[in-house]
Amino acid sequence: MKLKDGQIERLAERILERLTVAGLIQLKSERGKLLAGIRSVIAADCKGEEDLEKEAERLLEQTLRSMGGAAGGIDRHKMLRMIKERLAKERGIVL
Amino acid sequence: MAISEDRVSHLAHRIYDRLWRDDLADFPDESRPLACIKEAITSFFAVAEEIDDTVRRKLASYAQAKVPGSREYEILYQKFYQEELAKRKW
Repeated sequence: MKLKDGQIERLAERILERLTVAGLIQLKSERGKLLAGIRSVIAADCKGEEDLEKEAERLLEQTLRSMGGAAGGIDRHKMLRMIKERLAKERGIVL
Repeated sequence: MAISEDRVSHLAHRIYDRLWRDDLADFPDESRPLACIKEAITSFFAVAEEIDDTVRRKLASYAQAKVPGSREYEILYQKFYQEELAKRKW
């Protein structure tokens, strides 16, 4: 889930708009502050995944290097996914 | 740009908690706002999937981008994707 700043902004606006139109929220602060709060949650979630991916890539490279010639038959994609899932579980990140 | 149901749920709870905990909003009811947030996230990502499908269909008609994963394919994919984003103001 890679989102650009503009997409995070639009998603935050849509969430707040839906809640408001449906009458499911009572604002206790100005709209801009609520949007900033929603944006920061989404951005932190994206950042968590991004960091996890980088770490998984690093661990994959390290593993393949340590395997030397035996790494030839490894399915990189599958192995990366397994590393990602393990890291996510360890860090309590929901993918 | 797929997003799992678990992640939608997790994100919705975190957004709800942030707004409530930081005293930015009150929710007269708990389950309906959460369902509403989940719906907003899901529909937002459904558009992303739609754009991806549109771009891949468009690419299928391009002779120079027949091989998914090739450099030409990736360059054209990005170009068409940005065009679709702009078209839909997404």
